[in-house]
Amino acid sequence: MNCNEFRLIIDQGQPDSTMATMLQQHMADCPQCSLYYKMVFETIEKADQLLISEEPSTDLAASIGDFVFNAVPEVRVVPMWVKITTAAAAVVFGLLIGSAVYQSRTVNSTTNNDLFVAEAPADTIYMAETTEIMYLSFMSENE
Amino acid sequence: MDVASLRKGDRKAFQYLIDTTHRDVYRLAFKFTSNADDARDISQEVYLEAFRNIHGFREDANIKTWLYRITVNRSLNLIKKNKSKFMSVSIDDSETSAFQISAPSTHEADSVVENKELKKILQTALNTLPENQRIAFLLFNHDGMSYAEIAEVMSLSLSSVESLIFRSKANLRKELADFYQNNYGHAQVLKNSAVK
Repeated sequence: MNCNEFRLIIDQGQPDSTMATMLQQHMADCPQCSLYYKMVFETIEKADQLLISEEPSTDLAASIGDFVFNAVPEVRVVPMWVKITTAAAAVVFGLLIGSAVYQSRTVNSTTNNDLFVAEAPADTIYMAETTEIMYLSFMSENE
Repeated sequence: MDVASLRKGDRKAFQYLIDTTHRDVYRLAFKFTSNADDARDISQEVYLEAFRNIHGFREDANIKTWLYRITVNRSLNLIKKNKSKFMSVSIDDSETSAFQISAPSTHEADSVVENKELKKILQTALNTLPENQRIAFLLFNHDGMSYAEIAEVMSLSLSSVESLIFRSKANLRKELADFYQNNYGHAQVLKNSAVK
């Protein structure tokens, strides 16, 4: 195997086991191809070891907690039974107020009933009468 | 992990979630940004977003995968915001200049390249990949994630993830081979001419 063949195999990515033996033999005699293998093949295949990140500082978890909980103020959770009871109480209270207001208006309307009666004056001519007068006038003129 | 308590907004349960997962979230963010301060900021934002949206989290889903998805999105947002900071370094730029200076002679070639230098070269080569390939490759090399988990994080099918990882490796090999050629090719030529 020469260097060109070696690199062609590396460039293709996945040498099988028989090729791997030949590659090892070639690398033993060729430092340049050994470097090529390390740089082009191992760098990618062992990327998980190369890309190891540095560890976070020990206070990171606590500082994340502080950051999150300070940014989102705590909301007091109201139990469902309290919500239902409050709603029912509001409805009852509303009914009581409505009832009281209705009663007060009803009493006012019975005591002051006369105030709202409008009496028609004697000379008021209603529509039906006007129509009748016009009809009779027409008939007498055409007789 | 008591997801029901988390969904109710239980702060003790959420602090427990932070305690047990923050290391992985931080390390993933670091893989994207290569910067401790950025990784720290991203970790905080990830958990803030998670806390605000925890009520929408499905109980049958994997919470760690969910956190990873937020981490990837946050990291990409940061990278996009600071594009000049993250993307301007070419594989042959000054960051690797020390490496170029120490270019080996023919016989000591394989002993010179340290893991630290390989890491720099790999990081820079990763920056040349299309975004989806870079995400898939980084997730593939994080915390032993399976293809299925990567697919869930990226909202892609399994076959798409397989394809992305295959193509990312092929592109990285090409990029690294070019780098080798630019920095060590001359040594090979000298060696060949000396043999002749």
